[in-house]
Amino acid sequence: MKVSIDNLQIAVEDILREYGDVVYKATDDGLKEAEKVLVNNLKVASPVGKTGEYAKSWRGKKGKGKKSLRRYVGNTKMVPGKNGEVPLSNILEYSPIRGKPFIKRTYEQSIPAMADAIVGKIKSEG
Amino acid sequence: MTDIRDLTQRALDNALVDDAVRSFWQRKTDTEGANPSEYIVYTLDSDTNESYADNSPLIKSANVTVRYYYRTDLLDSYSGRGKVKAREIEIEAAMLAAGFTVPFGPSDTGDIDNIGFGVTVFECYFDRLVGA
Repeated sequence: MKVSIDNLQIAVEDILREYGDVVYKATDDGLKEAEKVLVNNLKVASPVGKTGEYAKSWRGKKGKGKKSLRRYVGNTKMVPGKNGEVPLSNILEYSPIRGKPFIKRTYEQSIPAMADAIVGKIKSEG
Repeated sequence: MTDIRDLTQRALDNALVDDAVRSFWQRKTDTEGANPSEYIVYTLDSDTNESYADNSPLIKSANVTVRYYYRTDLLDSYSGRGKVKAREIEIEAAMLAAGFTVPFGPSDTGDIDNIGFGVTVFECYFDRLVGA
């Protein structure tokens, strides 16, 4: 491709934009893979009650706008309390009386696998 | 090396004891003269080695979870809600002043013990050199 000196700035901007799009997509796809890793690990680590509903209630969500390269993973299971419903994950993770913490620990243990998933995905998209 | 539990207890007591808001490690106990509407329970959740030299840890990072309990009736009035918010600011400031970082700030977790108390959680971190 030949670019005249007059159009050099526009051509460079186009290339950078295209490169930025590629990097954005690869990162986004990598994060999607990392999200899957974390959701799966949390499912495995979740306490199983009578229904196993809690373990099945892990969901990932993509951030919006400037936070679009972020993933949020949470559990949708709510349980009734004295003052309305409370997320079961809050009880398990933080209650000194009824808790059985595993979320933070699972997240920390998942970091290497999540990093591998991101790198693997980016490499595969070369 | 810095005793993290002692540091946390002192930080919270210095900030809150004048209002009779007591702080407890792991579980609340009955304490005379304590404010019946508010109290704190903190736990040391981890104290991990972060950096090594010659196979020996150089830096340790402690993770303390501070739970601020307040009677949910306080949320029924404007002044009560203001009181809760002011207390949250006070707790975070006390932990920051003691050298902790509080990267996520306060987080509403609801009535996690089902006892009629709302809970605000603060995840606090303290890094220190081994031997310091």
